[in-house]
Amino acid sequence: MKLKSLSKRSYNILFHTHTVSGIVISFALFIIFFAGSFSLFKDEIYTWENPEARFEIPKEIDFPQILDAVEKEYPSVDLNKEFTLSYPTKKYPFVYFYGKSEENEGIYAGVHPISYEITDHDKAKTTVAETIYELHYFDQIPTLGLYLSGFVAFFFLFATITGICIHWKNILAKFSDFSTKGKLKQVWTKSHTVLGVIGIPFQIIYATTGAVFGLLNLLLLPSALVLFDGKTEPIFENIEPEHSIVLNEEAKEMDYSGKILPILNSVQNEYKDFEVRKINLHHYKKEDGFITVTLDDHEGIVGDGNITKSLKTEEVLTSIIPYEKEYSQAVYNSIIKLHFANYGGFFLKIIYFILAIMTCVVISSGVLIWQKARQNNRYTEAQQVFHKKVTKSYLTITSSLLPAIAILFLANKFVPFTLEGRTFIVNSIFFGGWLLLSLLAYFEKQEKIFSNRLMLTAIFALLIPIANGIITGDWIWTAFSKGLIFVASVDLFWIFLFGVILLILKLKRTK
Amino acid sequence: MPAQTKYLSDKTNRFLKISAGVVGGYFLSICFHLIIGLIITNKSILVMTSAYSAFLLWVAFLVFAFLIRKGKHVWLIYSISILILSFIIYLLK
Repeated sequence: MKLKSLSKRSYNILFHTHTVSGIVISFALFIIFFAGSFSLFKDEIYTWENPEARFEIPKEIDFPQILDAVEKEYPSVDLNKEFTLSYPTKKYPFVYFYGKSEENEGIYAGVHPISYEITDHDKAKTTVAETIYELHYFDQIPTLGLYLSGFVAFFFLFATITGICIHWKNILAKFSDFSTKGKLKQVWTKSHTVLGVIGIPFQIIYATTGAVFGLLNLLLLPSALVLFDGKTEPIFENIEPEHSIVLNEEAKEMDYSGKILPILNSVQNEYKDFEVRKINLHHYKKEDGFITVTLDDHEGIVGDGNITKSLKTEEVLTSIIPYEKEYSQAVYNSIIKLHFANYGGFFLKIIYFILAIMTCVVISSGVLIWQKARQNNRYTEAQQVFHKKVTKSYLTITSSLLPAIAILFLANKFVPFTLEGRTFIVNSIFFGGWLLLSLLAYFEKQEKIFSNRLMLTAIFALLIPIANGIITGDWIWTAFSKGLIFVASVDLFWIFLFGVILLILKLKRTK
Repeated sequence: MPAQTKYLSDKTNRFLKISAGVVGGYFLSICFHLIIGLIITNKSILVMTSAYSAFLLWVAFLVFAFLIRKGKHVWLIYSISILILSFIIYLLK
């Protein structure tokens, strides 16, 4: 079945905009998707990278004692300002504190729920997944990085929409146009359209939600100026209704430390199927203080909510009940869930991962067909050299990212855990390794770059579980028997990847 | 096969179209949303919807900018529309 096609003129114009916008964003977009696909498992990787996080979480968390420890470590902290305590999980067994000092400076720290030892965010001992996550939106470039990633997402949306337009006529047939016959160029072209068409919903979700996170200010500023008299608070009060509660600065001093646990337990009893994700407190030491409990079942797209109770009377002040939200309360958190894949369970994350890697293939095949289609006498010698240079740079940088990530995992194990300032060393090895691999690739034949990088990755991938076993003592089987499933899963992933790479290399050789 | 060059515009027109599509498209999309936001009473519905609709509309204006033959016409259409919509916003506020 064929659909109505565009006019010849429109087709050619949109085709060209699709090509040019695609090439311009290709480098950045690949990094975003590739780093993003690993970032999906940011939390799951944590216990693997930090051996000190491999302990059993106590049944009851003593939050008042945690706050005492925070006050001792940061004498300037003001617990009457809003602060957040994350609930420890199997993936991240620490309590994460986020609050403000009297001078309104942010204080971020992880607190051990048994020993109450505090690790300041800036002195974190390991940042493997964090580094990949920050690379995902170019956070290494201060302020501008986020906007850059936002605009890349916006032009990715543009490239996706124009891509749909130009393939509109045959879009139904393209869904199932799998074939590996013909020349390599045709295989690239087909994989670009088939995988592109299959991934359309996924790509539109990511392009839009990515643009939202990167360009949120561009969106909110006009609305705030025109609709809410220049304030942005009313926009967020919708999602976090506790922020609309007016606090009395003259309220009496109070000690509510004994109230946190009973309130938490009562909320947990009422919402048995939900996990407490975090608690927020306002005016913790004053009479009108209140606590907000954020719940999530990690299943439904609207499966999260928050209940705010008064610390004094324990009555509910405001609430957003999961699955009973209004439209305007649900949108923003659904966008977050769609982007971070923290709904639907672990299996959905794997589907997301596969779709993200598939998108990387679409981006790369796009660059390759762009160059191959221009390798003829319609283009001058200089133009062809330019096309080749761009393609080779693209291949060197993008295909070196996977072995560089493997190096990052290895460096996390080989740089001693007790060393002061080790995260800087580990990150330097990662970025330095990436740079070095890219530079080396520039001297290799274009056809060899990808398979050489894969071979390197295979070697590193096999070393990663061994390094983890030797250095932390948690081999895959010991980790499993200790119940450290995420530690074992990360090791298993690299072994699985080793197998996949061998398969790809074998297929490539027979081709 | 790359696109046929006879349908593509020259450098000046290309610059005008891209700039009108990105800058003008943004303001057009925002103006549309603000007008709806000023008409309806529950403004948060509009603000939340704009999280995804504003980008889709913005992209539509960018695509549309390329399909018009002359870059200066795109700027003309977009700037006049922005002026009219801004005036409506001013009246509604």
